[in-house]
Amino acid sequence: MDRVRKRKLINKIALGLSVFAAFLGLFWLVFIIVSVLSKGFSAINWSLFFKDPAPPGFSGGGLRSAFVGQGIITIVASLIGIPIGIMGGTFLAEYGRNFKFSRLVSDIADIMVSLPSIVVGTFVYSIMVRPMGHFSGYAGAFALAIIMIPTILRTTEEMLNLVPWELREAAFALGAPYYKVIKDVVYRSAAAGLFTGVLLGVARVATETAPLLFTSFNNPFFTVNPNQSMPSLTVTIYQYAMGPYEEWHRLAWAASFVIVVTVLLLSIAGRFIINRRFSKR
Amino acid sequence: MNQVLLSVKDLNFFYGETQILHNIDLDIYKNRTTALIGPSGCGKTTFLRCFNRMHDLYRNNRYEGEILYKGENILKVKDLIELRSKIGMVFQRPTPFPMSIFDNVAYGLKLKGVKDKKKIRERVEKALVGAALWDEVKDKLYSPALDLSGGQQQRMVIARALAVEPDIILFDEPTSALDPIATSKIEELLSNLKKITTILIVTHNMQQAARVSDFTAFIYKGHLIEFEETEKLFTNPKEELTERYITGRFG
Repeated sequence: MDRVRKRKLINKIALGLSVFAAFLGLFWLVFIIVSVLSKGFSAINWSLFFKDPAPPGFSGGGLRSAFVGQGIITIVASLIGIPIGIMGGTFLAEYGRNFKFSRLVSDIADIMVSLPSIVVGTFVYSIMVRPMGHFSGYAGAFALAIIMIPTILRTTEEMLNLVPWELREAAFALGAPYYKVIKDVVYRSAAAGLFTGVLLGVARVATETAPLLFTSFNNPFFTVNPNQSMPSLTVTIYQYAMGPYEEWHRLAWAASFVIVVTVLLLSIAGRFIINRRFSKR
Repeated sequence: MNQVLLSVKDLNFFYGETQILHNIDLDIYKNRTTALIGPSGCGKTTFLRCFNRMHDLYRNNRYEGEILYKGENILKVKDLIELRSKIGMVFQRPTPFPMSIFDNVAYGLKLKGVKDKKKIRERVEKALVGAALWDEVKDKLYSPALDLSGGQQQRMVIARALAVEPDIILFDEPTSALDPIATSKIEELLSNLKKITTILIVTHNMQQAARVSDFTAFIYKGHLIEFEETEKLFTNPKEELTERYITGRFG
């Protein structure tokens, strides 16, 4: 009887501690989101999206240049990162699944997923910015692509591995060549997962500041030319939040608000797609 | 009259250093159903998968001997795509592709390069009728194949194999993942199918072999122990090993 009471007591303590820890973690998350939302929301207005930054000290102005720059950098990064990630993941899961080399690539990609992004920034600085002699949107996009590739590569590999081999064999047994098996059967079966991987990969790089600091840097003027330094939301937040002007702080909150909401929506969309796919099976 | 469609001569199969099949000699007769029986791990599925060269998908596999088909040795054939459109296969678990019922059944035809829409439609319908599924799906041909029940999926997969009009269809325990009602439907279908094609079926269920097949081969530890007309094999086996297996004394 005594032992049962002791066990119940330990159980209650463990339960209490884990609930406390969960709430502690959740508290800060909610705190951050709520403060960004409340401080950012009040700063949202039309001029934020349609006007370029006003000169320091003046009010008015918006962050159109940063939104456009962020958009261009993210799109160029996606154009490089998504195809390489998907094709690389396809190689690992399909054509190269028996090679030791593939395991190595897969393990390195795993390590790269947790690589500090500032390292990627300095790396691209030394191989692109220095030789070219100036900061550029391309360099920023390239740095983001490097961060994006391992994420997409690994999710692609895992999602393709979830497709049962029997399904591939069934397509082979009808006389399909391998590329058609992949295109018609494997990709289709894994479509939701692949899409989610891409979504999460893009969401991950859209929030990066460090790799852009040394690559696309910043530009107070509106530009659509990625061959020169380019503004981005994250770097703008970094600089404005550090700046001395009240107006800059307001804009930084507004930009944070937009980023948080966008990433939240992307992640929720990703989760939603995954859940729907797996409940349907 | 039994006409030989495929002739297996002195077939040996190796996985790495391990020999799985030993000196198998066997004739498969046209428009007949041949069942392969034997305890788990005896090599019956391995044997089945030699006929459409499925083992080529994996490394370290080696064939020796011959499987003669229209004067050619299947094991030496270069064009596997052509071969596999003549030798269909149905797997243990249903393998519907993530597309509509129609696209599933038409998939093999499209692979063969059939472009004529009318012809594809006709063949799809014919195959679904042949697989005893037409009445159940004719109103929802364009809905996802994954929405069908397991038994329906398996019949759709059979229709998919039938659509390219193969000379033989290989069945690898096609009912082991199905409930008894779906199983009896498939068995009924199997006995009708041999009018239009030839069937080679692996089963671990001896009653099923007795019900659906004309010939039965008993395989044990990679050796073909006995090959006979099904009725003779089950009522009057020549080999003691066969008798012991079919009376349930081992395996």
